[in-house]
Amino acid sequence: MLSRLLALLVAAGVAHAAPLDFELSDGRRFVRLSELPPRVTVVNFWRSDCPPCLREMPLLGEFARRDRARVVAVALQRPAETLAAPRAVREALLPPVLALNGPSELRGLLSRFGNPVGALPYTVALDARRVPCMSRAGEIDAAWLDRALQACATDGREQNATR
Amino acid sequence: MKRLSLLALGLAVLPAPTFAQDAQLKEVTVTHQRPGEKPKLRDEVVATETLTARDIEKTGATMLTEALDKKPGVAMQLECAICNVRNVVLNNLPGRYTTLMIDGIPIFSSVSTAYGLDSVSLGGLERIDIARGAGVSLIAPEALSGAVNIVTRRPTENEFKLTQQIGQHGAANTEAFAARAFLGGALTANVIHGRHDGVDNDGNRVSEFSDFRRNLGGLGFFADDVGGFKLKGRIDSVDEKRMGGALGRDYGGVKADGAGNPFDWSKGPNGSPDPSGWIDPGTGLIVPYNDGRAGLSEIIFTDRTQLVMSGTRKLGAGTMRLALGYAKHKQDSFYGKSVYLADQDQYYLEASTQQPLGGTLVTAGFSYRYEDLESRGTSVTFGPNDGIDNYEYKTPGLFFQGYRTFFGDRLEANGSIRFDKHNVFGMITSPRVNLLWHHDAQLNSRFSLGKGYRAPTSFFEQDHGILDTGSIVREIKKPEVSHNLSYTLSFAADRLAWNGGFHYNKVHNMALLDVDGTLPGQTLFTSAESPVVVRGLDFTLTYKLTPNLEGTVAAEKTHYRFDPGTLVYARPEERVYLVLDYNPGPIDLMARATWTGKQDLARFYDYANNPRHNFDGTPKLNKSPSFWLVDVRGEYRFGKRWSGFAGIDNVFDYKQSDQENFLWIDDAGNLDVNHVWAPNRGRHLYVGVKFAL
Repeated sequence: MLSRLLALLVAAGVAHAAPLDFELSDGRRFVRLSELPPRVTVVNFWRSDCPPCLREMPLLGEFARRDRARVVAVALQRPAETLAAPRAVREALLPPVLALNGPSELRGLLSRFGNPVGALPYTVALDARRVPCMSRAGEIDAAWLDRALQACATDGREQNATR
Repeated sequence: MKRLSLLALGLAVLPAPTFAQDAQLKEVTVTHQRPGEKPKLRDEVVATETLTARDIEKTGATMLTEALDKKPGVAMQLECAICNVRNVVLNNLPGRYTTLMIDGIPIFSSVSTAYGLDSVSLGGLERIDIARGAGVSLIAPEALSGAVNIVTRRPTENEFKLTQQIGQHGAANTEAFAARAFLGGALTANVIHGRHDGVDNDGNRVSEFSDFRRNLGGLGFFADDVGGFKLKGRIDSVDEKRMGGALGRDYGGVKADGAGNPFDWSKGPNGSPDPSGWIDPGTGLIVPYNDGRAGLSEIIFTDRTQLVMSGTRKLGAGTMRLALGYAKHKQDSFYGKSVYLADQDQYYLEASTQQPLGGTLVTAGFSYRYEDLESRGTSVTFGPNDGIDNYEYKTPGLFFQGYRTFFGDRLEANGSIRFDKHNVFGMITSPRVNLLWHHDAQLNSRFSLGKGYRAPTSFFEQDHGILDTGSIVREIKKPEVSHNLSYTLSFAADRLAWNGGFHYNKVHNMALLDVDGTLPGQTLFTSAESPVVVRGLDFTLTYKLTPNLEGTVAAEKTHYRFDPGTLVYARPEERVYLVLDYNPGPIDLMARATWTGKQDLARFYDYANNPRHNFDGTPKLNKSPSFWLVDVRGEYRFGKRWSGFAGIDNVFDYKQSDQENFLWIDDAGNLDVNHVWAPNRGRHLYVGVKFAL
């Protein structure tokens, strides 16, 4: 009886692909994703002592400069550590990339974005409604970004996205 | 950093949005756990809090005891201002109930707990997991109040870091860390030299903070595939000399100086009217001091070598782990003319496997623990007392753990049991249960219920200095047993995070010393008749106030129920913590204020049976005053390689010695040393530079 009740409670609260949001600092102000103009957005979580994070950052910078989607890079470290990142990474983080600082308590943010284990690098592609279409734990490449764009472009959500 | 296999990621446990996730992982690292972050119950050590290397760096801590201080439910307790015995206290229970592990391997006990914890290197670590509560660790059932697990970091690239810090009181700390990463592994090396002069703030020529010289060296290795095993290990060596009481480092001269009065007993609050001695509270007459520098000095030389090594490989659908630990700890000590030499050996062997069985992740294993202590000594009153606290413990054990998730991973459950066959106390069973309910991605509840046991090792761990005794009569028939229950509710959003919890700890058969043996010079080592109960609440809230400023407020409230002689050092009932972190660009600023409430000194120091007095014959305070300690630290990064930092510990120079001496006189006019309820060093300024390649 108790387990049935618990199961019902769980079913009522099962996570679903709702629009995602965050409120993070860029060093000067708080940025809320839901307050930015609607657009396909690639959100990348990274840190300086994660080698694949550093390797993929120039690709994300180039992707943003080609204006194919909005790119948000969330650094899960102190701002001073971001400033000490390799030059290629710092250059990649320049606008139009939106470089933000993650919270000191990471669990909620990462879990909301589908990464409860905290794997890095981690990248989520959101459609214009901020609904996630694809995500990847591990280094991304240009082909993955293309597929993510396609997935987000179809109807904002593609359950069977290419893996 | 920790590399994850596809299997491990597949075991991700929290409820996640249902959008498609890639399964192909090449190289993935895992963010360091932080307090309240993604707790995982399938680990052998179920962490309740985690300090990352960055958290530790932010506080400016140079040793483990400093890194773990001033956190709700976690504190460093100073037990003696003469020799600076400092313990890590969890849930305000005695420090000997905290088990320290390196990479999950327990290799500290008795004498090494007393003087070894200050010598644990913070170099090359990834994080420190703290697990509060009995039975939190599958592999350390003796952790009656909890466990602290230091996790070393596997470098992925070549590194070199050098930190040089200097400070007041002749303090200096030089630390070098180098790592060489290569295909399939890495090697690390770290060297630390630390020093600090003795501090005498009240001018009586007795130190209130001991002098120390400490050298540490360590080598680490990581091999990703040796016969299928992923290996990790390190060997560390410590050489430390410390002296308190007399100032300086003339160890031989102090030991030989056994007559006369080199101290001034009239200095400090409630000083004696006569600098040559103190008032006997019973007669009102002056008791002249005539034992020289040796009579009030404690000199401890520590020589320790330790090795930990573990290997994990795939076995069937799961993994297999082999672990080995060894420590040899030598102590050459001098306590006010008494000599105590101790030689301790510890071994730890473990073989375990973790296998998925029908949706349950099952861990089963075997461990063997060996530790002994052999001592030689001479009591100033009773002469040679070699071997009075010798012991030899052999403990083979079997352990089993089941981990499973329910309701779409909303509920994580972990249940375990250990069976240990102790060579003195026989078969002991230790069960535990942990439940974690994810209300949503940001809010979770955690419930723990566990039992732990501990074989008392030696009287040394309770009264850290050798007692002036002729013999020890062990009347301990049962191990110390703790039952623990705790609940924590945690929330973490982007700007706001908080957690609040309750813990209840009941310790049966607490080991205690009774110096009033049936014969002169005889000390009983026995068990308390009534259980000790410690229960508490703690709450922490962190909020990002501005884009660069974060504030933390935390508080804890603890209640104690105990008989005299069990909890023997003063503890507060309330503490409050305030922290501000300001991180604009290359600057990191931290300010931390810690308020400690009044401590019931009369109760903890058992005035009813043993009243304490000042040098002028007046009674010691029944309750200590509440006080604030404020620390500030700033760091500026000049570029990728250089940074500079400066800080002040105890900004407002609060010290016990301004109000009450840590030395005390008993009813018979005898001097003792451990009346401690606040820091004695006072304000401490330091500056330093860091260089990294």
